[in-house]
Amino acid sequence: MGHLDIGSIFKQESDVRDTYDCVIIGGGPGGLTAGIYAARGGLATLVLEKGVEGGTLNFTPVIENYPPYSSIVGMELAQKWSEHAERMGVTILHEGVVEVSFFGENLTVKTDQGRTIAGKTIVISTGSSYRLLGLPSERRLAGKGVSYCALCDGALFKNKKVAVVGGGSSAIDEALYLAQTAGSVTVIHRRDQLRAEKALADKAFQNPKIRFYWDTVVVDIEGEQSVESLLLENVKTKERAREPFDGVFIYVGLDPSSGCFKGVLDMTEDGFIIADPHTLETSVKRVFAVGDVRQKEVRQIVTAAADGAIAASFIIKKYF
Amino acid sequence: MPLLKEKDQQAVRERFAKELKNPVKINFFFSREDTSEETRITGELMDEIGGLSEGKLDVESIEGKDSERARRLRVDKMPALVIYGDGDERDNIRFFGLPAGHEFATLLHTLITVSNDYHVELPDALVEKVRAIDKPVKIQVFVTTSCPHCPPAVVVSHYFAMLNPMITSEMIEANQFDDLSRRYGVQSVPMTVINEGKQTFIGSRKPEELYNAIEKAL
Ligand SMILES: Cc1cc2nc3c(=O)[nH]c(=O)nc-3n(C[C@H](O)[C@H](O)[C@H](O)COP(=O)(O)OP(=O)(O)OC[C@H]3O[C@@H](n4cnc5c(N)ncnc54)[C@H](O)[C@@H]3O)c2cc1C
Repeated sequence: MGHLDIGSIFKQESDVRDTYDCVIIGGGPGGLTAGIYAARGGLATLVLEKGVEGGTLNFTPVIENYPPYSSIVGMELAQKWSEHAERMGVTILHEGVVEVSFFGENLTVKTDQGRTIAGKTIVISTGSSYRLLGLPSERRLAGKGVSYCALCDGALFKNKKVAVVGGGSSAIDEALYLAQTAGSVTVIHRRDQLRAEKALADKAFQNPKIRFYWDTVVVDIEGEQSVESLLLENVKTKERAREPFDGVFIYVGLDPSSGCFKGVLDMTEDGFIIADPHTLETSVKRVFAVGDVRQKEVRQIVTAAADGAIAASFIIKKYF
Repeated sequence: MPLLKEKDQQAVRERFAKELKNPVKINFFFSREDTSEETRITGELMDEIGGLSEGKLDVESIEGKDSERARRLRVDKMPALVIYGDGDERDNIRFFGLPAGHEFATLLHTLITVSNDYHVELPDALVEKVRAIDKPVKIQVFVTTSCPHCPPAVVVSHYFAMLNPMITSEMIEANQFDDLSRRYGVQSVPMTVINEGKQTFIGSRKPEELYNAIEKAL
């Protein structure tokens, strides 16, 4: 039997205070690691998580590059991580942050339950969320054959013909997962080679159920009640072809979850928060950004964790 | 070999010791013809968690849809779990299929809530509205056990059933009940189906939105 979630998501939080030394927004690998370091440094630490602790780990079937696990189920790593944080004394509250107000040393966040919490320091670790292809038909057929979560919906396409759009590591991850149950998996990628990690790509090339359409984009997703076919275009020859599919899983990139910090913190045009590379402090003093939400080169679990450690250590050193 | 790892057993035992109050009944309905792995494991898992509860969880395995108890509790498909407080024999909080993976968290939370006098975590104004529903409502939440956003959808639906006996709430593992999934065109989970398809929606919605969907379905 697979891993059992013994579930802290429904745990009740009785004693939430109004003020913490360190308020962390987002409980993925970056936020939880910042929490572990902050709590061990003696700071009263709160993590606010609007979804599931462990963040994106929960949506990753298996992880093979977070040392020293040569292979670990994402859900299991997520659970270990949140247990670790709680054992170190981090309080985890299941509420999402909808608004922030940063004035001088007055740093407060407002949650979707209407709670206002102040932090002497703030760590933003909200990660990113999947990007849409941007087709009108994609919205219409979302949940009806168009999916962004292979782990959730993959099992519903047993022996079916599915497509995966994208060529990065997460797309290939998902293609390999889907190939365990689907009849066939077609990876549709707009370039002529994968961006994915070589170890993953090699696995996919060797998998007899997975095939590749290079230089190809999805122009339209077609179907009345559910996905029936894809209209594809070769970007080089401009040739178009229609092909039947039962489902399409989209992994064309991630957008930073930084909406509620717009106009408050310096960001790149794409919405990634800019932080000092040595300390991870943002354009506002006492406010830090770690993990996938910040501007950086390598967005991985191990680098998110490292960011968390760096920010929390600097916070302890400079502000407490 | 126990299904729960040593460490998880310990965590569940501790949580039960701390959070279970009144005794809770788990009725596990199965059919003898069904030799699937999932059904076998469901039974074993219930026995195992029963053993971690210091007698608070009373697990009973019941064979057959045609049994007297199945009829009384309106069990129309199996494997099924019906959960109720000691002495009330309510039939409206149900799990169909193995509550493993993320749904194990849902199961634990449901047991604990039933055990604490069905005390649900919903805003008072909504509690009043849900209690006022006076027509039969059936909510079916289709899930897979690897879906991280599914548990909240099931929990809210179960809360509604706890508040009002007119409401029946069912978690349905979409793979184990593929005929039913096909009937409602389940291609993404969680998918909530109200009154046999009068209203359906995909994703975990806010409790108020579930209420609005029920109103529309009636
Ligand atoms: C399909 C897939 C497969 C991947 N596979 C791998 C892999 O094999 N190895 C690897 O190293 N990396 C992998 N990655 C990348 C890795 O998951 C990320 O780099 C890592 O999770 C980033 O951690 P994070 O803490 O910055 O953000 P996340 O893990 O995304 O966590 C952010 C958290 O913040 C929460 N949040 C967002 N907004 C708010 C708010 N307003 N209020 C409260 N909470 C909020 C979210 O709910 C989420 O839980 C994969 C990514 C994907 C999508």
